[in-house]
Amino acid sequence: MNDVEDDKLIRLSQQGSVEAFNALIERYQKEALNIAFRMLGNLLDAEDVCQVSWLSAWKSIRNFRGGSFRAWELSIVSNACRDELRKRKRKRNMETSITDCSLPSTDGFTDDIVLTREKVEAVQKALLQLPYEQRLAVILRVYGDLNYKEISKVMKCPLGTVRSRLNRGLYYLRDLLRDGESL
Amino acid sequence: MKTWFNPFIKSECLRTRARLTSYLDCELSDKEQQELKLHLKSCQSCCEEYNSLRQTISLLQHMPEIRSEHTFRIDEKNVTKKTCDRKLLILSRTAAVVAIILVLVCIGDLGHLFTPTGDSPLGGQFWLVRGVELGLLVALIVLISCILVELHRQRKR
Repeated sequence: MNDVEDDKLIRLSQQGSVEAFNALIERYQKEALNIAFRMLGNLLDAEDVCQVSWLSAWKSIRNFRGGSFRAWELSIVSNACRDELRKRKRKRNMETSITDCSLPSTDGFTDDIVLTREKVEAVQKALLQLPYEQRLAVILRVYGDLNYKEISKVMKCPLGTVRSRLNRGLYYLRDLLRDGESL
Repeated sequence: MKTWFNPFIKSECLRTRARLTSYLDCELSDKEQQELKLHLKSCQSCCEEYNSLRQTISLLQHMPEIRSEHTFRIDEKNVTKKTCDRKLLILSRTAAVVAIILVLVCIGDLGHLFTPTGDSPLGGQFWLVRGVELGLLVALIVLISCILVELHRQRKR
């Protein structure tokens, strides 16, 4: 299944093939997990969100009408992240998640660590301080590698709004990093 | 003439800064990309802004990738069972609703609610009521058969 193209896997999944859908999960799970983690700042929550998103994607795969599967899946992940953040807000745990931004141990990182742990934590904390919409736009652009058109579809907003959210988000992030002397 | 209070220059810088991210992502038209490029060459402060944004993006891109110890998978058995359970639930609920409507219509019929000679406002709908009763009965039989087939399939699995 690893060599099969996305389109075929999607078609098979729509016909009810769990194996094909699991191959799609394998292909995109790393990206989905990274985006969920950047949005939430907590690995356990990110894993839960991913599990929920994949189940939800499986249930609605028949409604997928072509286009970018990655963008479609990431929109499900971003919706699940929004729900998780709302849940947290209800529990009034938002402050805890920002201050106790729980990065996994260095075993969880796959790249060679170029940045120091302090810097990584500072960037993650700064990301979590961005307003939700700006954070999502920045994360989808940088970690989802989506273009502006795809981001506008995921966020269900016009292209101009994506531009301004990204611009504001990056300026805000830069200022936060400068204040924390990480830039 | 380099004047910081020149309103034209100021608005030009503001316009540039509002589009710097799009410029970095090459999401502007060729003409706009060229305009911004020229402006950045001539404006020191905008150039500094541009470099700082570029550094911010580079920092984000160099964040280490997260890896999970869990492998996400959809469990075939669970998914099939859930789908079947859901199908059965929908079928049995629909059958229950149809049965209730059929019983109500039959009660009304037995109480001469639909008889042509009755004083009831529904009188005179005799054949229509018979048709509805028959239709509901057929629908109920079909639904019950579907439930039985589904149960049989589940038992086979």
